[in-house]
Amino acid sequence: MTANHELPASTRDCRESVLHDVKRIVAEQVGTPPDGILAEHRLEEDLGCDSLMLVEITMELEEHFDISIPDEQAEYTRRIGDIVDGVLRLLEG
Amino acid sequence: MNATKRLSIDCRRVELDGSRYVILRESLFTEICRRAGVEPDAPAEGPLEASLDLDRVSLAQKLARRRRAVGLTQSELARRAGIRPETLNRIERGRTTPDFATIRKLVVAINAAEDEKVASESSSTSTAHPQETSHDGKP
Repeated sequence: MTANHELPASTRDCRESVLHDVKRIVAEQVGTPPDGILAEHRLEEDLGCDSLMLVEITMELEEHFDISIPDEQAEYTRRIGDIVDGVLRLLEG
Repeated sequence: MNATKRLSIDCRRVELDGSRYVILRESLFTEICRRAGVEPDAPAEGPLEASLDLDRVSLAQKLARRRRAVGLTQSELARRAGIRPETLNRIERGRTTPDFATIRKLVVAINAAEDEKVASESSSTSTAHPQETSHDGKP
């Protein structure tokens, strides 16, 4: 388990922390620096992900955050910011 | 503007219907055109269809490569993933676009086979081939 984020007190800090980790995981898959990834970026259109990369990113997120992302959620969440929201919901859930 | 700055060409090569293509970021393509002093033609109609085709081809190539790397046949991987062998065959030939759940089943099965392979290699290399470096998989 590589989970190294601790949930800070404020929700905003928490969101920042999750966004940071999501960017790192996506960056690793697409082979681009994490700093170049923005919350409004879409995985396929803006970052060039193919369907296999989408699955691998989902599985990495599940392992990193110790959550289980339903296929339907993963299949239709494309924007980085929306992925962060989805992860936060599952972490709170 | 610094025109002499070396460009790092981050691109992917794919084969589609027998022709080789290079995929690169549009901003990079624009920069290459600018430096070469050429004006690219307007994009052809139907970009969505093309991108779907490319996705199928890219998925097909990567899945087949990873399946062979772990030494599984199509029917063996299909059995492990719980999908029909004909379906996997169509996926690997780029004839169908599998849904998220199907791709996930295939990735899970390939990862499991990879773990088995690494485990058996590390136990056999320590006795049979002591000098050979082991191929570490992901932890």
